[in-house]
Amino acid sequence: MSKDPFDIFKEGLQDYHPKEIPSWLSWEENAEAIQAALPNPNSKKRRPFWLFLCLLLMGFVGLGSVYLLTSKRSSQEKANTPEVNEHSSSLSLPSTVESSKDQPVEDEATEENISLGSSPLSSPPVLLTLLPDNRVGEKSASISPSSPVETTNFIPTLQPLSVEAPFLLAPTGNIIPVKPWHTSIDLSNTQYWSLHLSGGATIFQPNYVLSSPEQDPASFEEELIGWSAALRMSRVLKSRLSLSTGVEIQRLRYLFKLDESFQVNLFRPNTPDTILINRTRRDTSIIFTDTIPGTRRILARQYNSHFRIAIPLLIGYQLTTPKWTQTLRAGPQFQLYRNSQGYTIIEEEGMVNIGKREAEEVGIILGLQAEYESGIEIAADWMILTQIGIQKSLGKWAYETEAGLSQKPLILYGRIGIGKRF
Amino acid sequence: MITNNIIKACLEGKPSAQKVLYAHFLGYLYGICRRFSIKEQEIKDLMQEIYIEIFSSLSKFDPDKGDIKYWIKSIAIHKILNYQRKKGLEWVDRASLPESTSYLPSVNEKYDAEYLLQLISFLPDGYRTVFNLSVVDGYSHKEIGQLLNISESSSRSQLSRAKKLLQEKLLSMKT
Repeated sequence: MSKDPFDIFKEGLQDYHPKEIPSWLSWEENAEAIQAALPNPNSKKRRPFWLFLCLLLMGFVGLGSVYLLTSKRSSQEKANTPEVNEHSSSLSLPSTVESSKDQPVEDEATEENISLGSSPLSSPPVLLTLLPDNRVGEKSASISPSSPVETTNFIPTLQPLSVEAPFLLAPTGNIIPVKPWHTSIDLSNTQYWSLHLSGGATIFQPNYVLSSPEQDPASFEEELIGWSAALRMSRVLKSRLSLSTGVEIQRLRYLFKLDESFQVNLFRPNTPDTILINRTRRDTSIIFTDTIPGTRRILARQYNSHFRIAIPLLIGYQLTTPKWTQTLRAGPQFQLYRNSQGYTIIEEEGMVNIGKREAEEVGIILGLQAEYESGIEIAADWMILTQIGIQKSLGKWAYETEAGLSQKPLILYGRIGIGKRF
Repeated sequence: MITNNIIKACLEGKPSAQKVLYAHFLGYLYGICRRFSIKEQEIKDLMQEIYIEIFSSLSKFDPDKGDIKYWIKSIAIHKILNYQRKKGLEWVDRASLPESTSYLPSVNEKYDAEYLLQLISFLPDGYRTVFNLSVVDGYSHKEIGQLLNISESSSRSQLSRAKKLLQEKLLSMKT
């Protein structure tokens, strides 16, 4: 194989060390400037502190809401309990109730009986029976129209009371707790599905290899809040574990900031221009004049955006009560991303389109995701959700920018949404 | 030899370790700056920027992925390209190309590095940058396109023209 004659340059220059190095490049001459610019190794890297504050606040609001709702419902239940006793005591029980005290109580019913001592009902003492609902149903179903009125007949009679009060009167005058009105699923013993739809704010840190604001305060890229939306399907297992998957869409944006003017001829070869850059909220407007006699004003818009579709595969651990749900999830996700950046440069008054430069990168990478979700039940099996989470891409976004090479970005998000159990 | 202990001490901000690392790569980095024809009066600032970047990014260096020398070189090249971008690369159009030349350097000829540097210093900025990245540093045209924000075909044509200019220069020096 013939050798490229220009390899003489590679061989001669790839490890080139000049014979003489100027003294002004010595460590002593430069140490002070270098060390002054280095971040203190004991101080952590700058992070958007306000973002963590917001996420923390969202978490507190979510937990606070859970606490308030829980304590409100508890106090309502306590308030309703004497009312049940009042209703119970005011009922005129048929004689069979009186007679039932002499009958042996069914084994099933006595297993979990709790003696209450005195009661508004006549003696013997009323027993609290922790019967599951299906037993109530069985007893009701066993009633024959022709049979004498038994205590079990009070169950359908008293059922409407349970709308107001979380207790039923048992066959023997016992009080039977029933499930709260707002859920139809036995959350502690049943496997069930849940579907979540949520949306919210997203911020990302590109983790550039190269320059950062600390080192080059005049030129850096600033992360902006983007948005994300997620549709997620979860299967909750008996063991409190949950498996989730779905689709997440994210759009991330950042601004390119330059607080300086400089000579450039990227857009018009051999024509040096002085660029003055004004940053606006959404785009960067660039106004520059060339050095050819006469002044021209040119408007340039620069955009940088990342769009991602991710499919997560998450495993979670869930703490559930009928009113609220706390879930921690983590797992991998497959990300299809499209990074775009570009300039559109138009001479003032739209006369000449001087240049348009676009770069786009599309790829698939693997990422990791962790999330905390708090859900509050607002209606039968419907929940309001708060999600905060973090995502880390394991692959580089091969993406060159003015501030360096972006790699393995870190993404933080906060979302609210609704969920449905079924 | 830069050991893991030196890197660790640099991460802890110890000046003695920073001095060792600085001195070890000083000649190499200075050579890269000269290869890209950075002006002497601007080399000092640029070298400081490169070292600041090296020390502040050192935690990201993974010894398992390669030699620190090549990691440092990539940082230096990024910094140099950023610097050139701010200054404005001089892209030469087709009209200023020389006529076709027939001289090719012999692979057996030995050239002094200073002589080679002098040769490529005659190249326009854009040609020299692409030539350095492609021939000396071994970047592909796709990578060069991404680094310089130009198309792959532009990178190829810039390299081709740079080689023609170098042939011309070598020929004129021979004669």
